[in-house]
Amino acid sequence: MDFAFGATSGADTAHADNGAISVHSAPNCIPVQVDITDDTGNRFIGNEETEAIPMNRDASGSKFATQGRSLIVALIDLDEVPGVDQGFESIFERYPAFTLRAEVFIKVFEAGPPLRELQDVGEYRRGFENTGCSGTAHTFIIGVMRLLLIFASTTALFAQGPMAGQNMVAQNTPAAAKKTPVTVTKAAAPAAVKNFKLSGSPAATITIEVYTDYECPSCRNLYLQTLPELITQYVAKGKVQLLHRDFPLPQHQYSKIATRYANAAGQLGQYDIVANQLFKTQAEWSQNGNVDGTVAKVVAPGDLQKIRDLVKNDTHLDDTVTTDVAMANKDGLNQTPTLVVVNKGKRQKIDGFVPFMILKSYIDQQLAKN
Amino acid sequence: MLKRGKFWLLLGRIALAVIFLAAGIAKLREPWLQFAVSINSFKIVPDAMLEPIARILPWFEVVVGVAVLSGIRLKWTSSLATVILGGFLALLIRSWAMGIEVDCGCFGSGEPLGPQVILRDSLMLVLSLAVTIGAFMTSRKKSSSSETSPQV
Repeated sequence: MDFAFGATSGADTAHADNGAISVHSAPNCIPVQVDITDDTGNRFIGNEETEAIPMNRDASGSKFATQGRSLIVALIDLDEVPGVDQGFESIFERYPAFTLRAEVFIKVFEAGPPLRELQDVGEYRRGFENTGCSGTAHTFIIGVMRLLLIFASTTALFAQGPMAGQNMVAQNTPAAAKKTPVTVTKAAAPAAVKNFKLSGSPAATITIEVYTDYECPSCRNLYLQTLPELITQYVAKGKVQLLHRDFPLPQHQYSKIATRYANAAGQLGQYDIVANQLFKTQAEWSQNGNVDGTVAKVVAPGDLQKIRDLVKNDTHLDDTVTTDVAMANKDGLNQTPTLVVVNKGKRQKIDGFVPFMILKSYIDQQLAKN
Repeated sequence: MLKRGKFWLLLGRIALAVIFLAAGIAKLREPWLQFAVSINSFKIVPDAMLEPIARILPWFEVVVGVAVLSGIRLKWTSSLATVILGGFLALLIRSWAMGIEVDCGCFGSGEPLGPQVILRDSLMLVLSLAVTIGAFMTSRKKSSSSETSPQV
C-alpha cells in the first residue's frame, strides 16, 4: 500500500507540482517511512525515530532550510519490551495502538536570523479507529495534506522573492516579532486541542476521570499499563470518554513543574507525547529534577522553546490544575492514582492502581446497565 | 459465675458480629472494583480471581456476622471468624514486613496499612479467639451437665 498524496484529486493535485509526500508501507500495510519531496526534487526522509534530517538549498537569493522527521509515539512502555530496536516494523507488529507522527519544519533565511518559520504535523494513529490495514488512515491523510499545503505556500513565496507573502506568515525580525511574536507558526502549528486532557467521543455514556501525579509510581503503572488498553478498547471505539486530571502531591518535589510542562505541551497539541515521556522516564527526572531535558527528547526544538516560554511566563497555565484539585476535593480524593467513573451523572471513585482486566469487567457492566 | 460468663460471651459475640457486618456492609456500599483494587494491592491474588473474590467476600463476611450474632452453632461460626481474621492478619503482617504499599480495604477503601491497622486487627483476632474459647467452654459445660443429669 502506498499513500501517494501528490496524486490526490481536487485542490491537492495542483500542489503535486510543487512537492509530494508519500508514505510507504511495510508488508503488513502499515506505513513505515515518510518521504517528503519538494518542488526541486530534493527529498528528505524521516525514517529514524526522533532523528531529524536537515535539508538546505538556495532559492531566489535566500537560504531555505527544512527539517523533517517521523517518529513513533507509542502508548506503551517501549523500554520494557524487547525488540524495539529492530525498527518500526517490530513496533507495528507488537503494539495494537500507537501514533506515527511526521513533522516538518521549514525555516526561511535571508541573512542572520530566520525570516519565516513554518511547521506542521501529519499524524497516523493506529488502533484508535477500526480502519485496519485497508483503511484510509484518514487522520494522517488530513495531516499530511496540511503539510503539503505549507510546502506549496513556501515554494510559492520563494517564487516571488523572500519578502513576498508577508500577510501569510509573520516575519521573525526583531521589530516584527514585537508586534506579532506568536504568528510565526500560528497558521501552521498543530491545532491546539480545545481541552487537550479530554479524549473520546462526546456521545460516550461513561466518562472516566483519571487523577494522577507525574511523580507517583502507581500513576506511572496506571498510565503505562492500564490506560493504553482502555484507550484502545473503549475510548477509541467511542464507548468511554477519558479525562486526565492533575493532582500533584505536595510531597513530590518535581511534580508541579512536570505538570506545567505537560500542560504547556498540551497547548501545542502534544500533551500525550509529553505525559507519556514523563511517566516513562519518571525514575530519572524524579531523582535529578531534569524535567526540561526529559521533555526535550520528544518534542521538536521549536515546540520545546514554546513550551519553555509557557512554563516560565504563562500565569494561567495552572488554571486547569486548580480546577482539577478543586474537583478532587469535591470527590474526596486522598491519594493517586484515583479513577472517577462518571455514569449518568453518578461519580464513583476508585482509589489505587486498577489492573485493566477488572476495569474492563466493571466498564462492561456499567455499559450494560445503560 | 456461669451467668457472668454468658454475659461476656454474649457481649463478645455481638461485638464480633458487628465487626463482620460493618466490614461486609462497608465493602458492599462501594463498587466491587474498589475492593478488587484493594485485594490487588496485596499482590498475591491472580487478576482473574480478583473479581470473584471482591464480589463474594463481603457477602461472606455479612453471613458470618449474622451467624455469630444468632448464636447458632457458635463454636463453629466463631471458629470460622477466627480463621478469617487470622488469615487477614497474616496477610497484613506479610505485606507490612515486605514494605508493600497496601490499601487494607478492611472497612472500605482509603485505609493504608500501618502499625495501627495491624494492632486493631490483632485485637479483633483476640476478641474472636476469646469468643471461640468461650463458645467451646459453654458447650462443654452444657454437655457435661446433661451427662450428669438423671436419666428418665
